[in-house]
Amino acid sequence: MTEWQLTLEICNTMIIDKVKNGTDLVIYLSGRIDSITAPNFDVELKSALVGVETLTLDMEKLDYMSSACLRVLLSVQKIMNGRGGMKVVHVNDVIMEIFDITGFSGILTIE
Amino acid sequence: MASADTVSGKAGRDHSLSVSTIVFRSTAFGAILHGLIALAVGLAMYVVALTDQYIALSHNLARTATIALKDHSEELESIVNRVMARYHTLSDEDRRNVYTEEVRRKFYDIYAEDGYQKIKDYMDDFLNNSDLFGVYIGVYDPKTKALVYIVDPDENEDTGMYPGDWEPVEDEEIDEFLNWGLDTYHYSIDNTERWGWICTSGYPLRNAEGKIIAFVLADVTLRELTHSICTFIFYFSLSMMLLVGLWTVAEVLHLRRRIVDPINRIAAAAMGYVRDKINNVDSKDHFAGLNIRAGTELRSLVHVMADMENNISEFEDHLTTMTAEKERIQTELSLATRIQADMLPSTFPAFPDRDDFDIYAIMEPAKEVGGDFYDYFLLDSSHLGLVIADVSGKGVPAALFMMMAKLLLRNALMEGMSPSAALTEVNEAICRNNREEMFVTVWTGILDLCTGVLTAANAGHEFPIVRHPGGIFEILKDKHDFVVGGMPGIKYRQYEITLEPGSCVFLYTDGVAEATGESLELYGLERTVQALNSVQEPGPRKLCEAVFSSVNGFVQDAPQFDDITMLCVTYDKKFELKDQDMPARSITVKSTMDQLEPVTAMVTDFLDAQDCSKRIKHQMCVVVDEIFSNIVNYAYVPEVGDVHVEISCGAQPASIDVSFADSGKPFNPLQCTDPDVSLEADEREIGGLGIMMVKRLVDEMKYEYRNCQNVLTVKKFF
Repeated sequence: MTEWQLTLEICNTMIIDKVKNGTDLVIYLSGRIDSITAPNFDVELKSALVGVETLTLDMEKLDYMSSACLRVLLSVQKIMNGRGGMKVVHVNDVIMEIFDITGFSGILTIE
Repeated sequence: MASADTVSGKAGRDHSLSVSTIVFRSTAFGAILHGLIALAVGLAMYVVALTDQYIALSHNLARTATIALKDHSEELESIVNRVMARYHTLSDEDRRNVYTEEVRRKFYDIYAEDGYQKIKDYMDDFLNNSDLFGVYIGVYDPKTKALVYIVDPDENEDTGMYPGDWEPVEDEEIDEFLNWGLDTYHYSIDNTERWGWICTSGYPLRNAEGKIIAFVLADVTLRELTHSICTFIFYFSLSMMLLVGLWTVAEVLHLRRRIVDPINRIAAAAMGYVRDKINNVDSKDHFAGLNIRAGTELRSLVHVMADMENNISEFEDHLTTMTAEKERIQTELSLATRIQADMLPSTFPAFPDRDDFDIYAIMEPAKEVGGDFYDYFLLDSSHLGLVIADVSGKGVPAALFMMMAKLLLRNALMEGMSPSAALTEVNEAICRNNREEMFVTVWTGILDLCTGVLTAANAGHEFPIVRHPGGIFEILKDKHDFVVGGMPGIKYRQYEITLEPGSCVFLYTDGVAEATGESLELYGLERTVQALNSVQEPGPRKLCEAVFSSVNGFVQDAPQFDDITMLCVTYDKKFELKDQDMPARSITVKSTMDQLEPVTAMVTDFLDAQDCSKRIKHQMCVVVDEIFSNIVNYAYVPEVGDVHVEISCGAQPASIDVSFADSGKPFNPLQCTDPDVSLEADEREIGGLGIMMVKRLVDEMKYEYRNCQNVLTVKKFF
């Protein structure tokens, strides 16, 4: 049962949908997370993590991300390592290439 | 299965029955035949012996009687004379009425005499009343050719004779009697009406002067003889039948035990073997387990069949392994064929969105896998790479070599090497490890689609055939260098020809020119050129198909010796690069993060106008983001300065070039060491990732510090 659903538009280039179901949080990312939007993404994501055991990031509609976003992902991954875990789903080619180049594909659970 | 069992079961039963029957019949027949021969021989000997006995008996009787009557010879002579005198007085009618009372009465006075009766009684005593034989006295009358009876002791009305009774005698018969010597005797065996079968012996009775006065004749009836023969035959046959029966039964039983039963067991074993084979039951020793008595051929047969079973079993195992192995090899070979076929680009039209050139190729391997190959690929939007090659040898080795050569060549050309440099490079690479001493003939060229200049190099390959617009196909006798893989250190040369729009280049391997018909005549270059020139319709596909069908028509049913490969390119019009119309765009912004947005907007606008893929667009956005934020974070800190960003298109090969210029602290991002990307999340450092991503996402990256400015230029090929 969905506890709450929230859609945030951060700038005009990034939109975050959060769907929480008990301790499971699913975040739908769309647009792009570049050096401008990454700090907002960082704040929004971390504030939503309270009481969350498992985190799922759906990147189906995400165009691309910069290294600033990677930093956020790394720090969130470290947080979630102490909890139920985190996974990334629906990764497109461009983002997968970035994950591969930076070795993030070895850190993240990508489905 | 049921029907098979019935059939084989019936066959088995028929078999045993027939052998028994044959043995029974042949044994019985043989025994009966032997018995019949024995019977015939025995009977003959028996009859002869018995007859001899009877003859001797009658002879002895006659002689004994003669000797006994010697004392009465005078009296007998007188009686003979008187009877004969009276016999001679008989009329013809009397003679015809012989044996009648009327005629006999004429001799009654003689019969009634005491002397006559005395002799008769004497003879009667002598015979001792036996009915088996009789002794009587008779005289031969040459005048009437008759035997005239004188004395017969037999008083039986039917068989007894009276004096004067007579019977006719054959001349020869009596001659023998008359010519008797003293020590000879005569006998005859006759079937008479009165007495049945009798044996008669005669003996002459002589008077004191030695003159024959009469004959003493002794008859012995052979009635007993026929009776004896019948008894003999009856008992002989009975015993023989018993013997034959016993013998046959014994023989059949023996044979059944020694031959038929073992055969049936062998047959049952064979049926079991066949049944197990059909049902796939893996059981052995059908024959080895049979216990057949030693010393017969059947024992040897069982041994041979046991050996045969073993051999078949081994052979089957071997065959199964071999078949599986063969199937595996066949599967792998067909897989190899598919992989090899997939290696060659074979989707036509090859470049459907291009109207400036067209290309078509055919490759028909002689074996399952071939050594010929062709290749074509766009090095960039305006450069077409072409390769056609023929590996020495055939089959799998050639195919493996071909894979390697093809990949090396494509890589070399894709790296931007010229045809001659590519051949030189590939030659060195192959020669380094070419213990099998294989080589490949290659023709390779790069066609500049903008200018029509074809730069090509030929490593021992066939001459290309070229048609210029308005002309006909002609062989281009280009410069040849040594084959690739032949020896290291060769510098390959290249040449240039210019193709005007409407030109066509036809490339092929020796499988075309050296295709051999049944008459052992080669197809030849001349026919190739003729075939090309006979094609009316445009397009490389028609040209290739025309040559291929011409070759096939020439060789007909002769086996294909070599791979047949051809590649044809038509250069239809000059290609115009889009980016030549596209002016460079630039923007100068302050080094603050919020300025990233207009920079990104300019880049995406420019790329949208270039029709470039979403992937490249997003990759370029990441690149711009990383470089720009790097400048923002380091160049002027803590101040703020200007950043100039320019984006343009490069040509040959087509690329997107982006340059960033700032007047901040000198900093060469290329000298940064990349972070270790193999660490776990908890060990990872933040930082350095951005520059590393840029390096990987672009194809070229250049840094300059000129006029007190950091200028970083990145190039990304389409």
